[in-house]
Amino acid sequence: MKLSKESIQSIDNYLKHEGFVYFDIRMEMVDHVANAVEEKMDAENLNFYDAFKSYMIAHKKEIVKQNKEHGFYFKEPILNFIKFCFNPFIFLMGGLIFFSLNFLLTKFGIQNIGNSILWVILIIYLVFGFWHFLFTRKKMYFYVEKNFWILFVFFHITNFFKSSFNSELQSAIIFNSLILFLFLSFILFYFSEIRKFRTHYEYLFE
Amino acid sequence: MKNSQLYKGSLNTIIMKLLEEKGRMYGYEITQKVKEITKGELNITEGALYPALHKLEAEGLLDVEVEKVDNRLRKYYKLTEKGTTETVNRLAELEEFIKNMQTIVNPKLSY
Repeated sequence: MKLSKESIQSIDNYLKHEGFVYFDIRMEMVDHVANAVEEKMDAENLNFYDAFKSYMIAHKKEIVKQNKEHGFYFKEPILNFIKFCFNPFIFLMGGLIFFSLNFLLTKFGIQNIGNSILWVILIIYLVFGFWHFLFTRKKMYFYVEKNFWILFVFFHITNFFKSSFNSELQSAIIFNSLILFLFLSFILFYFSEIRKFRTHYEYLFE
Repeated sequence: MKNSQLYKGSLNTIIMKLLEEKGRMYGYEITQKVKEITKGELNITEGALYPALHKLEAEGLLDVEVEKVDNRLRKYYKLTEKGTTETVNRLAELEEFIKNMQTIVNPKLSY
């Protein structure tokens, strides 16, 4: 017996209540539970409520466990970002940033340029953060969220080290080039991941 | 999944082998297929299956397609080109492992 829209909605609400906040993860689990409940209803001649209750009593622990696993999922986004950086365009961008900042910092001084770069990074962070907020406002997707924290970490590293590295010309050139490079590369990486996500999960955006 | 580290270590290979045979499958279908093949001996739990599928997807070994089926969205998995090559390697590795284990556990049978 196939479940009605209302029954599917009940499963969805239940899982949301159990902490499945990411839509892409929850939708898959809704399908899994719905399949199992349908099978149980047919095999044991139960109504939706009894079959769902009986299934959740037996499987709740495993279902909640798989959701928690996603909280510790840091390795892949970092590895994918590093892989993304290994391409000629990103190398070229890195070179351009380094030579431009070398020229600007030498010519105009750390005080003028170093501080302006930090403002540029702050503006990028805020604009990008706002865009991310708009994209995930209605539905949060794990595929998207798992990458965003990388930018958050970059931003706080910048703030933490800015005064110590901006005291000498050479360290200021390297530090500012690296930070600007990481920020811009990350934004390109993020949008390439969003494009991939929209292609794979086309149905969600129709 | 049957509570054994031996099975857990082979979960990714099991998933990839099934996808190689069937083309594309969704999570619940994988659990049922494994249960059917092993006559109920091996039961893959949700807690083991989905993190494994998501990891394989993140590694670029699996591709996904989402479709609306029976009032809900269903996520299908299929092997990427890289995944197909990797399946061959992992199956060869697993076969080698089984052969070695057999030699150690039951030397007479291995000849």
